[in-house]
Amino acid sequence: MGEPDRRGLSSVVGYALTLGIVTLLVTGLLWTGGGLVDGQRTETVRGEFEAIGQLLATDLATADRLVRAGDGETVVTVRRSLPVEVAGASYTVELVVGTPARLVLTATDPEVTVVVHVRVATNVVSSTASGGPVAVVYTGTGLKVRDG
Amino acid sequence: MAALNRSGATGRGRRRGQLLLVGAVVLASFLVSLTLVLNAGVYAQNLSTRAGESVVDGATVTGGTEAAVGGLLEVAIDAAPDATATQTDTVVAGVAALGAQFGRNAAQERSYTNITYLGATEGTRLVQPAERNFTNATGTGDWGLVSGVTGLRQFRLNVTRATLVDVSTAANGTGDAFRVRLSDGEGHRWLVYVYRVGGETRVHATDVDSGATSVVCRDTTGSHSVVDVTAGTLDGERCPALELFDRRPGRLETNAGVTVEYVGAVVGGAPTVAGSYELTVDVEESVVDDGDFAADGSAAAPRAEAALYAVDVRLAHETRSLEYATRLRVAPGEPDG
Repeated sequence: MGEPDRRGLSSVVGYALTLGIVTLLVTGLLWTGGGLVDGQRTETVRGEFEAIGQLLATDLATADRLVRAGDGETVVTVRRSLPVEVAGASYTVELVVGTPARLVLTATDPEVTVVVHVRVATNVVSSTASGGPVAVVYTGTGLKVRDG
Repeated sequence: MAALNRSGATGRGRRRGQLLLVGAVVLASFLVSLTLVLNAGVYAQNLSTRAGESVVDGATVTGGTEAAVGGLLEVAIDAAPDATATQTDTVVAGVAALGAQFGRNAAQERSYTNITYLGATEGTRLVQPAERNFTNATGTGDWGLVSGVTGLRQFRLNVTRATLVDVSTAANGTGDAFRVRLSDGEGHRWLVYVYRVGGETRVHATDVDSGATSVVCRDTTGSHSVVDVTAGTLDGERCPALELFDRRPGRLETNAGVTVEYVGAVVGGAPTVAGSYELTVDVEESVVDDGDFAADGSAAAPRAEAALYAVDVRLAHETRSLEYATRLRVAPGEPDG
């Protein structure tokens, strides 16, 4: 009676262990990596919305100043080329009437909303534009944003 | 049997290879996603620091047009005093020339700019061009220059310091000083005192109704002091006492109709001030000109001369990122309020 032959069993156990550990590692990597990418994406969208909002607020202030510099019959169009998507997410820009007026930038995936206050003396008109080329316009009724 | 073992080993090796490949692809995808997201973040930072070129363009063109047309208006009035038809012809020709010049400059800067003449507002320039006391044409010391005007610009007095009342002497007080009385249709009344203390010109303003007195502005340079009532300056320096049209409560409202009078130009039979002055208002000469001014065509002073008050132009400016068109009313030296 010699020692039982366990060489075959060793290979199977070793293989199963390797498969299990690698599967565990890959799953863990996917889990944490996916979460990290999603978090970074949300923060990036938020940061970019802040930047876009400030740029549009500047354009509204420019148009406001030009309207006030004139003495009637004023037409102003300030164009700006904004990114069509932000970190892979499409978005909309809404100009909301209020004191002060607000620019609301919204993306649905990921769900991010950023509000930027706008301080202008000229009336504003509630209006919406999508990402991409955008224009701030004044044609006598008030300042508004539109796809440009 | 040996062949079977080799085959089995090879199959397991293939499966391990597939697992490694899948792992590598997943890892690569993760890194690429992370890179793209971080790159978008860098782009956001870049976006936030981009300058708005249109801001500079629009403001520069508006300011440049107002300055150029304002200068043109002054030249036209000086070249043909008391002749608004000739002044208008000069302005129309000048605006056309300016439009052509703007067009040439704009072509070099890849933009389009044009100005066109729309019309002009006739008014009156009240002027005493040479050294004289501040009495009216008949020598009266308390008299009204204009009443109820809704537009006035470039109201400047160039006073000779030595002729001002010196209130530091026992014989005189600020009540003996020369004053400009300004009032509007809403009941706001202000007195601007112009006097000297030794070799220093002093100016202050008093609210007639409340008695509140402004800070005192001083000038010691040269032998003359320029009191610019509409610009709010004394000898070119900001003078808070003269900021009477700055839209603060209690200040003068031009829209309500402003009246300008001189008070105390003569006290005890002696003039309290001498020098020159100028004021342009937005009402026609026939309304302003009365017995206080020298006869038409006379070289005597003070005179009321027909003069353009303001010029209206249409400004159009276009760049890659800005389209701007507006009506500009140019009245140089008009207070902002």
